[in-house]
Amino acid sequence: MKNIFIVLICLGVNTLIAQEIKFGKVSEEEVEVKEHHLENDAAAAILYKKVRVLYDYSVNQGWTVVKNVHYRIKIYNKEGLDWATMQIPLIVSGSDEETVIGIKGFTFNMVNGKLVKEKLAKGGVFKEKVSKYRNKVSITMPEAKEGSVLDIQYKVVSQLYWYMKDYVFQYDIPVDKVEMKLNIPEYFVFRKYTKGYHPIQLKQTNDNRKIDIQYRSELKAGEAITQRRTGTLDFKEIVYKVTVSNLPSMKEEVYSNNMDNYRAAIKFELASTQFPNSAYKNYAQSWEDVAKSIYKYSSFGEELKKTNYFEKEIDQLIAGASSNDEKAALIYDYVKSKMTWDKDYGVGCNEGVRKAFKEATGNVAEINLMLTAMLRYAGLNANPVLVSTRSHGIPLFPTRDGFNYVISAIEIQNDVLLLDATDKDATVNILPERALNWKGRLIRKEGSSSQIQLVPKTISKKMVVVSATLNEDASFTGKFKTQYTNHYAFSYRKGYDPSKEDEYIENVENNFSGLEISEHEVQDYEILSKPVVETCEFFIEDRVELIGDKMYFSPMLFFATEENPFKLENREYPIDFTFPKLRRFAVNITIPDGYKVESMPEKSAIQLPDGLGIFRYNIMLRGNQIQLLASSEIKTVLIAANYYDALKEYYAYMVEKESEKIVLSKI
Amino acid sequence: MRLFFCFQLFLFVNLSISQETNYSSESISKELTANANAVVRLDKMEVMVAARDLMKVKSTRIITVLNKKGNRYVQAYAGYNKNRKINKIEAVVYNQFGQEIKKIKKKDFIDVSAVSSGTLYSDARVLYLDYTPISYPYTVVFTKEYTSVNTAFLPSWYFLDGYNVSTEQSEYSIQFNNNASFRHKELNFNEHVINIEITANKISYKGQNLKAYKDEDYSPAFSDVAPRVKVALDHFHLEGVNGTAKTWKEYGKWIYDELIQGRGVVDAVTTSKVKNLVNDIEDPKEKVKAVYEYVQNNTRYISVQLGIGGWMPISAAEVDEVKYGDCKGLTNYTMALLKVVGIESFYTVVFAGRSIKNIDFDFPSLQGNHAILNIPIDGVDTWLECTSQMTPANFISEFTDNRFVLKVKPDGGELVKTLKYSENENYQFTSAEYFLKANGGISGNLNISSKGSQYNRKYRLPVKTEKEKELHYKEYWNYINNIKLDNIVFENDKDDITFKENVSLSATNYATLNDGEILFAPNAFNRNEHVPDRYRTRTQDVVIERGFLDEDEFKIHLPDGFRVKSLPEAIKINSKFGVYAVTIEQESESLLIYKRKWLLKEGRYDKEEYKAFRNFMRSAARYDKNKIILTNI
Repeated sequence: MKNIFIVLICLGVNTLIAQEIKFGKVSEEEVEVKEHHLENDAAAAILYKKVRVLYDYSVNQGWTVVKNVHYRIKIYNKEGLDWATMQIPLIVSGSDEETVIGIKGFTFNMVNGKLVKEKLAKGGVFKEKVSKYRNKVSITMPEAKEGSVLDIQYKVVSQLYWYMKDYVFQYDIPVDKVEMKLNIPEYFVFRKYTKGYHPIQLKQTNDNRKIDIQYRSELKAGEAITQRRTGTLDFKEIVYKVTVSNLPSMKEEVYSNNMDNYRAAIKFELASTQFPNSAYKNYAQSWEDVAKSIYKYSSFGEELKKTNYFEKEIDQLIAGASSNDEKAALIYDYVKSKMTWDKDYGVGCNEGVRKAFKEATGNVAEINLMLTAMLRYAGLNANPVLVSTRSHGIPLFPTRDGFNYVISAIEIQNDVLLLDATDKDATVNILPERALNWKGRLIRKEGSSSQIQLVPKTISKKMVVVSATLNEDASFTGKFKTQYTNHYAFSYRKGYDPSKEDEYIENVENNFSGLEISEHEVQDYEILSKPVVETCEFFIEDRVELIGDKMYFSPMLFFATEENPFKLENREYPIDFTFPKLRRFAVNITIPDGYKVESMPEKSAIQLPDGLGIFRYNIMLRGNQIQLLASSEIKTVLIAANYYDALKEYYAYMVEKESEKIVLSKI
Repeated sequence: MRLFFCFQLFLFVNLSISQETNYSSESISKELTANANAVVRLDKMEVMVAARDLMKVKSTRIITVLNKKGNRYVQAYAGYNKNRKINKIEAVVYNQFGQEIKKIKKKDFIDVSAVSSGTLYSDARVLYLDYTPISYPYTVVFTKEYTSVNTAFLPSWYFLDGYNVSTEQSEYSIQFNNNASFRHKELNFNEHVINIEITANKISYKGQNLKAYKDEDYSPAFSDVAPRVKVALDHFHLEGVNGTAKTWKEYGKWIYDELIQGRGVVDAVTTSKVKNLVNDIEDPKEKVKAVYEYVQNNTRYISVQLGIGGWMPISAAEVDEVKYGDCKGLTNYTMALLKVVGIESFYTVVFAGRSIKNIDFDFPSLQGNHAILNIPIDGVDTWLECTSQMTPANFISEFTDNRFVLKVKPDGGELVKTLKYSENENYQFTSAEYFLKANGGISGNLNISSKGSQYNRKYRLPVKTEKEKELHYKEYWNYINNIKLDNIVFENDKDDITFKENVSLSATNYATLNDGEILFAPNAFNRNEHVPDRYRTRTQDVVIERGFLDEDEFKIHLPDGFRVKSLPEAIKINSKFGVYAVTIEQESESLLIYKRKWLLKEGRYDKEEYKAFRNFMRSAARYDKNKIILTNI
């Protein structure tokens, strides 16, 4: 009996050791397993990801960062085969660049009950110059098939020691285990931030490190003969360790802004450096620091100061203007009409405001810093606001690369007006959707800064007034008038081209089978400060069901919401509606002679919890006229996932209510 | 002196022409701006074939962009690689008044790798113009010159660039310095004004005032209606390899000899492995299936295009080693494995894509963008798509079906047609039994069985995640709100090439309740909601590339206490476009049988018939929503 015990204990120890994951050593069990233990529908999984970051120093090269990466990937089915190809994007910054070395890979398969290992050959690795700023290494694994386990290992060597890419732990497929260890010399102080829905523990310890360095020094001062010498560099290191297990897969969902906001990751950003015999250098630690450091960029602060390139034009432009409001409006319109955005992002200028002004095109910084400078020149209290666009993610932490966009703000009594001149249809406080992302940072001349809410507060409305007559042949004729305000007006103007009115009408008609539109008119398309008003006459068939001598139709005609956008049973991430909105339909329908209303939908309302939104449906009969007022209002832009069920139900109710029918019968 | 004078005059004339074309957009005639987002003012290319392996190309392209949508027609780019060198590239931008606003030199073009999506690596690169238009209209004058060693593909010429773009002047000429014999073909010149001039060693075309085409639903492929020119050499060169061919037989022979032959050998281990696979199999068709399945389970698609590798498959031995390859490599590999088991098969070149495109049978030249495998067994062709890990053997629906392809045989090429799926073979049968409840909800179970193109749209479902499956059905039945899916079972019969789905589901508020009446649409599970777009004036012929047939049979149990008030009459529409038929029978007081047949035929019709076609589609969509009233008893 004793012996058995010993054996058992040994086994226990063995399994403990086996849990340490070594590159190139894969168990039969890992290859044999058919599906993921937590997500049985996963096409592939990352069984293990290891990241080890070290700093190195040499006299010739200076500091370099070496990142050792090991991925172990399991492929469960053929949809997962894409994971047998890995692409590593690399940054090129002038003469500094990231390079990949030491690529090794093995594919493990079970062949006739035996574990077989296939080595990645040179032919499976491709290096490519993608553009001036980017290289790419692609690795594709041999013998990858259903069941394969892939081990891939490589090093990224970077001379960009001040920069670390985000360490991402969550993917479209599940991740079983991540281990990360970073050793950072005391000379570099990084701020670190964890983000995502899955909690990540970051452990911090200290260590001592020695680097042997070889260098040449002059034998005698001023003489050309040198001698090879060696020395050691002793320093302290901060060691960061992360271990995470069982991160669920993430998939895109409707109304979710940028999914990266919710992805488990760690971000490191250089806050300061203190090299031996050099001065302490502070980069950024608080939002204030970030604001200050960006202000100091020559491509930002200096560009903002320049005025002489536009003085003549602006003097002329505002010569007759008496109030600040008038001047601001003139300048804003001037920049919008003169400048075209080249679709480039960034908080700094590329070519500079002067050249941009001359060529009438520039990146976002050039256009909006120019706008800010002009507003200031005209005597307004204007300042730039740093923004992170939706595709860039939410800047949860004060980091310099957290921002990639800049707009302009005018501070007036108790209020801030936001302006973005990169979009010709934008107006005061109506920013393009890309900029509607959480909060921005306003930077004043003296360097002080404050947070600015970018998510719109004012409601955008789409209000439709319909007056229709139901004809005896079960068609409708009528008129409708739609007023679009704020963001609705903005997107209407974006989508409508007055020179292509026919095309637009055809599109609308084709969206609603049986619809024909005439006398179409759009008012105030050009006057951005006003709502857009669209009016037209219409004729529509196919909206009434004739059964026996009865007519059934929805009083919403063709304006009903027909589908619930929230289809899935569950939701993990918040719902983002971009801006608060109200849709309202006032419909008046005259019923044909010889018919009476047999039944009508009931009036009702449904409210989202905590006043997030409300749907109202009021209907009444006056003589031979049916009057309907239906409205839906979403008051809050960002709604937490725990309201998902309520929201789904709200939409289901709305869809159902708007499809409810009026029944007419012959008198 | 006279000569000098002539020269002067020549210059002068040139100058006055260019002033006349002055890049102002105001001189463009109205008929060219109609339906156009851009107008090509001049598109001129001069090709000089100096030798079998040297081609010089000079082109000038002047385009006026009228609005944002026209930007994509500027096309100011030039591809290059080791064997194709850009000698000159330049662009000048003019505003609407014809004033120069920007000049872009070679160094200001953006240099990027030109790896297309789906390709892992290629040596192709491109220089392109990154210009932000500051107002519309604007005009770009783009000139480029390049030389290439490849004469296997001479530039082909389109007098129109696409839908919604017109052409004022289009000139194409190609000159052969080496007394080369060449062939040319003009397509779809129809009513267009295009002059042709042919001499012994030069051919030139001049087209003028070609109006923009409109993009419409169910129209023919642009390449089938657009005026264009193809030119080919009998003696050509491709990435270090010479070729001579002017018939399909010769082209096939050249492809076989230079690109295929000798690349189909695998080692002894694989040979015995593959032989073992078919040990107990007699039927050659079953052998093909076994080998194909082996390829599918052991390889995957990775595309790497380098030099001649763009046309020559990597060898079977190489594929065997890494177990991946592109269409050429995997097709050649499958061919090699079939050879091991004694089955002869043929590498076949095709234009792949949903839209049917033929290898142009009366213009032998290097064509195609994809490779598949042809296996004749007892006089019947079997086709294999070797890049897919999931497709059944001999299933090529909606990708390489029903088109002319070039079959490459050791003794030469042969043009053959691939498998066609008739409307009856693109078949879906849905049988369902469902219960309508007094509260308006439904619950039921249904079986869907799909073949042909309908199979193609579903057979990948089993490997999707649960969420994706849920979304698939919620989108398929998007007219039913509040669906709850209870159970989904798939069966993929790869021998019969039939995909079967069994789904149990329920939904609340399917029917409308109204004063003791229930209103519901009996067609719960297969509604056609598609109505083709309406055009005030239809400009293109109507093309339905593939037909299909849907049949449905639903048993509908009515809720207790409710009876049908009046049974709708049977509907039958028999048109040249297809058939739509519905019957509803009362099996018992509480049981209805709904039967539906929906056949859309493939066909090509005059543009005048578009309205009738649309009406047919619209009627079907309308009848699919038809409702029945039940009353309380």
